[in-house]
Amino acid sequence: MMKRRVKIASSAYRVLLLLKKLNEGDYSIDELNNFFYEDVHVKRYFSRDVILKYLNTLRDAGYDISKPSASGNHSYKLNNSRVNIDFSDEEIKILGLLRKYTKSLHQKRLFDNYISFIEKLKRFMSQARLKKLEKYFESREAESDDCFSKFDKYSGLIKKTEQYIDEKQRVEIKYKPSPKEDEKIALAELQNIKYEQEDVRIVFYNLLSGRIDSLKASQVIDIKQLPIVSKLNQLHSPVIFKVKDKLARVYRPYEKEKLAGPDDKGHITVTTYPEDMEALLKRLLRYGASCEVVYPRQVRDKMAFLVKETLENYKKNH
Amino acid sequence: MQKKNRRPNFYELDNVNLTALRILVIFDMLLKAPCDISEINEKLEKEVKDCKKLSRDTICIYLNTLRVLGCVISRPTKNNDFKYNLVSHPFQLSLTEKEVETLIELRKYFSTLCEWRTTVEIDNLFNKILENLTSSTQKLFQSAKKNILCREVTSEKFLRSIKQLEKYCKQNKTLTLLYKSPESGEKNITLNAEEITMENGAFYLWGYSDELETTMYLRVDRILDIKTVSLRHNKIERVFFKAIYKLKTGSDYPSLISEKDRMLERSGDEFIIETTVSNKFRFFQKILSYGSDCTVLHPEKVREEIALNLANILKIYDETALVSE
Repeated sequence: MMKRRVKIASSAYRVLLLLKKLNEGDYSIDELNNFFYEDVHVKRYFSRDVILKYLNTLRDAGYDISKPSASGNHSYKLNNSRVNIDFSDEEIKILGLLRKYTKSLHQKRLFDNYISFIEKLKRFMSQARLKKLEKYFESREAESDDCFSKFDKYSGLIKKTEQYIDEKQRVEIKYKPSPKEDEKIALAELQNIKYEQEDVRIVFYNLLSGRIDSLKASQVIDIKQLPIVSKLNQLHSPVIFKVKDKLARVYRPYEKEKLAGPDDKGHITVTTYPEDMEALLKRLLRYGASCEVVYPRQVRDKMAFLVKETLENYKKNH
Repeated sequence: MQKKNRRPNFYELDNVNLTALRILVIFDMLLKAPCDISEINEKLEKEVKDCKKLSRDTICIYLNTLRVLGCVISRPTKNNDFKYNLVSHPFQLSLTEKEVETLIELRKYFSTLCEWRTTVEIDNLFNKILENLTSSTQKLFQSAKKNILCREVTSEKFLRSIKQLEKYCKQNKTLTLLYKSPESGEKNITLNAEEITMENGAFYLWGYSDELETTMYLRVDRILDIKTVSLRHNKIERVFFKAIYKLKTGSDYPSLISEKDRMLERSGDEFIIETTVSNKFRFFQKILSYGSDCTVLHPEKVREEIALNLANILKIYDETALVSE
């Protein structure tokens, strides 16, 4: 049976479609016109004057829509909403705190995304709440605390790494595993930047070992871009380990870990792609006899070696 | 006779779309409360000055226009006093995938800082934001949470208020809790509440158990109920021991060691540390997580236990697998 077509007010639909799109982002006249063309209920372009009339209707209804400017990328921007989100003082403080922390991570991507989130959120706030938010941002900005400056020393490296990740070029990383060791070089395709409590890690695909690897920012001396584009067909080698006994019932997988099982003995199998092999093995050692590395043989041997080496410490006289 | 335009600022009738204005008024009404046809007409006549009374069919067309745009508006029935009710709409907060991912990444970063109070506040804020997102952004948000916070326990999973538990810790209360243990199912546990912590993405309540003579830690999301709350009758006679361990690090004094630790000696990158152990299992886990860089020096009994643990692990691995490196 043919579906009955719902009767709608076509021109009003177009006005409200503009409102819906401006609620999602800032757009130019041409972009808004493209939305009309792509919409199943419209499927055509309109003149600039018609779109301006629609925007004017929204303004008449009380929506604040900024005119396009060079600084605003020639886009129309919706500045208010009929929906009000009433944030408490505590919530306003958290929004300010998150802004400060985002800035302290020194990644342009994170900061820009957070700011655009805040800009959208502002539409849904009352004037009084907005004032409070701005005031809180200002007071937080003036604050200097160690927790906001601990990554400042890596700011240059983080920015450089972020840029190279964006540009998808291969890189050469010059690093020192420890202060006593000699400098080493790794040929790499950068993956991402990870933050730990006190450290920053540069995660990369090591072209020589064929593994995902990572270095602490403090170990990196320099990163140099090579004139070769990354091939995104990296083959990642997994590490598989078994989790047994009580631990199998409470195990919470880490990022990128996939669980299988439990088997008839109640054991679960975990597949992971480690970014730091040494850290993975030490973590698995913490699980004691409730964990066993099963694949690959090389990693299983490494685990056995780590256990043996640790046990040796207890055989010596102290 | 043509009706005179009474709208004072109707300077350009051509410059606005009157039908859209009417629909926007209806949308505003529905945002505030459910309404029926006569209420809609009354409001339209008041707000849009030259608007005459609209027929039921016209209003239905207007409501359908909103529905086609993504609004969910329930139909009037006897049960809802024949009113239209706006269930959801696409004019809520809409975020891009990148914006959502950034928020979730920030939440993950806070997990690493182990600041449970701030993390709970972030969870509360995110829950409020989630309630006000468009349905498509809500899906993005939930999916990013599932992927990025796969290991994190978020505070909406708590069945009991964590702030209440914190209050009991401060008041030195003895609690009997109904706890969902992954090993033995639901059971009652009595402990003297001490503190809340956050580790490895989960929240824990720490407390001393007189019965087991040890400090216990329970996952807050597994606390189903607080059965009884009482004042501590006696001063707790804690059972704990002091241990000394040697730790080799590639850097300066390790920043992650706890307040219970005290450095006794330093030689180059080797530290001798004394610690007070209130939970032996946790202590063993911590020592093992340093691998061969850490050795317990004292007491001898603990050394033996750790060595036995390591020997048991070694048994799992085939001796032939050992390679010299």
